[in-house]
Amino acid sequence: MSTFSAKGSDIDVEAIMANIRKKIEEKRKGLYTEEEVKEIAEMRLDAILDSNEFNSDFVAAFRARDAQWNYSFTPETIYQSSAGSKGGLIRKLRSLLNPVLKLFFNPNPMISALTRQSDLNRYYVLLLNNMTTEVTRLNLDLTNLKARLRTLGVRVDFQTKREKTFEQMASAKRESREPREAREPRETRESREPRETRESREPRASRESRDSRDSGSNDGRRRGRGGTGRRPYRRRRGGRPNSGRAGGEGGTKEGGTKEGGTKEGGSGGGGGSR
Amino acid sequence: MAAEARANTAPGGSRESGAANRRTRSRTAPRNEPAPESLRLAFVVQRYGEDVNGGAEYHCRLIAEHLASQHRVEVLTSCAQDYITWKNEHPPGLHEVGGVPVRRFKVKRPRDPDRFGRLSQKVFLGRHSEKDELDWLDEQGPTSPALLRYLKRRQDAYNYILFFSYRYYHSFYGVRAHADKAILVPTAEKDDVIELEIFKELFQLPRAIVYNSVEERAMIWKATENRGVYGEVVGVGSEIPTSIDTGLFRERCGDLTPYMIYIGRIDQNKGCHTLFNHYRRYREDTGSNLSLVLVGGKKMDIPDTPGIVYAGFLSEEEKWSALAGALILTMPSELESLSMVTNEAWAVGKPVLANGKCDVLRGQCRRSNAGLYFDDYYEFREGLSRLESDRDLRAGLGDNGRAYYRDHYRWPVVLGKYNKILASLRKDDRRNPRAPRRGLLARLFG
Repeated sequence: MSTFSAKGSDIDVEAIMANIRKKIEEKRKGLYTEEEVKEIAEMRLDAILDSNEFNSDFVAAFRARDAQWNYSFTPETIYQSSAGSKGGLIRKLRSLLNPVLKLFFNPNPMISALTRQSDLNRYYVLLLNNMTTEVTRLNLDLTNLKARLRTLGVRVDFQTKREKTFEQMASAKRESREPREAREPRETRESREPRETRESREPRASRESRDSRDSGSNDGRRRGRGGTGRRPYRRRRGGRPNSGRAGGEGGTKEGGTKEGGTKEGGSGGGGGSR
Repeated sequence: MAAEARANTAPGGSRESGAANRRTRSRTAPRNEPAPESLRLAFVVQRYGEDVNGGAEYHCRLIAEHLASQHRVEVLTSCAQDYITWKNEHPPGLHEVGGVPVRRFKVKRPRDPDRFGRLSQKVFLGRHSEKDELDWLDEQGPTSPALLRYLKRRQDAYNYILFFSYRYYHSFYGVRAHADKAILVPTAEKDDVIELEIFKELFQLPRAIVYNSVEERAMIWKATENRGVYGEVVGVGSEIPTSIDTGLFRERCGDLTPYMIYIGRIDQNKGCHTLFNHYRRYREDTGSNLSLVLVGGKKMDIPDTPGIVYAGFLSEEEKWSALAGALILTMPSELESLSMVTNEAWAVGKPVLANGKCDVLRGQCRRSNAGLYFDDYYEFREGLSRLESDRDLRAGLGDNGRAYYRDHYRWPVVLGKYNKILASLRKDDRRNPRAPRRGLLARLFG
């Protein structure tokens, strides 16, 4: 028996088809893209019907072959015959015998009911067609809404993640700021301020009393405070950056600056400790 | 198969005459095989003629004309031309069509569409009896008891009787009456008819069954459980011209962009509606400039989609020219027992994009490795896109198609299979000779 197959070929149609299906599946796996959603929304109804193998000309097709599914019933139908040429004769004979028939029963209500039923059958077909069309349309709407819902869901997820990320960033910033503040004493911060600024904030009377104290026996205390390792801001900027001790020495050299040459010179050891 | 047959019998077409066919056949006949024993064969078919459009009828005519070069062939058929009404249009008696004697018999009564419709509804949709099925068969027609009487009278004049199309009156009663000589060519499609009870028995009766495709055989095996009956998958051959003038079609239709071709009846039942929709969406989605050329009779409106070119009926030369110039052949039909035009496309090395919902087309594409198939628009788009853009793929599929045609559908191959079946039956008959038919007196008094 012939196998009906082509052998020895390096092309495998089944593999190509599997590859095509995989690609389509991958495309379908993800969410609809904006374009796809737009495409679905703008798609004409008949195209959807066709893709679902739904015949939009259902009614037209049914009407075209009305005789195949429906029956036609006229007052003459009950007298008709399918016996070819003899049929005419039989029909006439039956018509002649009609008065006799009417002695037994009245066929008119039956004829009327069957005619009506034939019309009703057509209406039912129309009704069913309209319902099917409507259901198909609603199905399409549902598909669109589902796709839209899925897209919105993704957006909500994205926004939630974004919000969380911001919160985390904010709390991380806060935490990183707090320990630094805990490490830095308040005075040091104050000492970083330019002297002029501090002086401008202090009343003149207290400034004078402090100056008098400074010029007296408070040198050691000041020196000790300088031993905390913090150097005044201006000092650092003015001195050589790489050598604390040298800075200290430099400080001594620069002691000729207008205020506090004594004070700054006294803090030289402290500067060296850094 | 009907589609391409209709396209091929175009008005003004140049289908070769029987004599010309025989000349071609004598050139293509295999030389090494021994000449088969000449047998007397009757072909029984519902309609027959060069002007008869129909898949099974065309199939029968091709086989009869080709086997006539090796055997004594006679065709028995009805006088009908129209398969809906079976109205007697041809005169009864002996005629000759394409060099083959054809004997026509009158149809007793035309089909009554009302009654046929009601019986069809009953038989296919409701509960019914065997009698209902037989009534349906009688109404289906063509009811020609004269043909059956002639066959009964002259049965000894034939070695074997080939019945085409299982679903008609002549095959049903003919195979039952002459089961010991019957070779059935069912040309079955995937529909409800094959499920009817009366046909389950029918498929057990013939001496041999000639299937059109592996899928048809599988379907019949499943529906009728007739695996025990000897059968072969044969199909039908195609005559390929030795040279094709590719400019002929362009002369007629002007310069076209690269195109995909559909050959056959342009009909909703052939899947053309789906093809038009898929093609329109493909153009819109991909921006491709691939044209769609339609060849054949128009039974539905063709949409005004850009790129669709209706070429109408073409002569044989023009048809081959159009096919040779195409990138791809498409076959969107869901119901095919065998697609001849698909085989013809493969014969000239063209890949095919077929409807995968048709088991036969899908099976052919898979086995031949010469075509892609689609179940929906997305597969159509991907498949067509690949075929359009990948020249190597097209060439590879085309080469496979050529090989598939060469191995299975050249006329010498097809005729060889028929002769193999006939030789096998002949051998069997010689081994188990039938008792001679008793004469009338013996039957009456013995």
